[in-house]
Amino acid sequence: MTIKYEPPETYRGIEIQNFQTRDRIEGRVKPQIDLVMGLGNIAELFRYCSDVSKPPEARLLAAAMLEAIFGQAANDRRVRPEIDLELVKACSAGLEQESSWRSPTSYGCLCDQQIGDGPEPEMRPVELTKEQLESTYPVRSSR
Amino acid sequence: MQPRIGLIRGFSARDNRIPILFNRINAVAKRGRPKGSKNTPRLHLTSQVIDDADGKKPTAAERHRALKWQVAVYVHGGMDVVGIAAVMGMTIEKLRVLFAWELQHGWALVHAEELRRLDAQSAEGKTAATKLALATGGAERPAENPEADAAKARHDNVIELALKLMHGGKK
Repeated sequence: MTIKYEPPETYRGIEIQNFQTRDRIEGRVKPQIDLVMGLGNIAELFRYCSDVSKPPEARLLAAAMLEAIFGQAANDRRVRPEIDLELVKACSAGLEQESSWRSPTSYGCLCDQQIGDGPEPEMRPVELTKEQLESTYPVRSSR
Repeated sequence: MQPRIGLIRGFSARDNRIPILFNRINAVAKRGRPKGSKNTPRLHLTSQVIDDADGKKPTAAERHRALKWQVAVYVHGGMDVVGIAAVMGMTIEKLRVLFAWELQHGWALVHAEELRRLDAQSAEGKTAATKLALATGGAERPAENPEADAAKARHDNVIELALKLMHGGKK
């Protein structure tokens, strides 16, 4: 039995990544996007962005929001909030759908690791892993 | 010694003692108005003639002031930023930059103007205006928290910017 993945869709302006089941999209990804959109605290956003157990769409949104907060302060000529943009970018690197660093076995980046007793990346079902591997790294025919 | 031009009173450039200059001046006088579209008097249609009291076109500042008042009226009417931007034909960002004050205090601006008019009429002796002014004397803006509104607007702006960043600068 193979799990059919849903075609990419957009939720509140954010593209939902492929190779996910409908249950996960509805039950996990969309509520998490709603949650991040409600966050306004810089520390909370950064914590969310660096949490490897969270869906990559929501983590990317948290990183973009941090960048936007910084940009807004710069535009308004206010004191910049204490955000290390490089660290934020490092936390959200490789999470994009098009990224070749996207992990085939978990929902996240290949570099995402469990640190100590911290949260661990959520694993992708084996069928989807196989499909994504074939899609991301197509087998080249030898001459 | 020859007199120097411009130093002695009564010296004329048409003086025939300077034949080259004299010929040039004559040539210009003969030619008349210079050619070209910018030198041709323009005719205006009746519809194009400005019928203002001053007979002048409004300046850029006057036009901008009128737009500011328009935005304040819309805010007073309870329209949201998206609706106002659509009516004014500009982007939300531009609206927020150009009319920030009106978006924030539009209600107060229009309300103050209304009270001023009411007061003027009341001073003229119109009883109805006086009664209305007395009735609305203690009226306050309905359920509003400016700080919460500003924070919400800032948060919406952050989300808008974040989505733009996620889409590579495009909406």
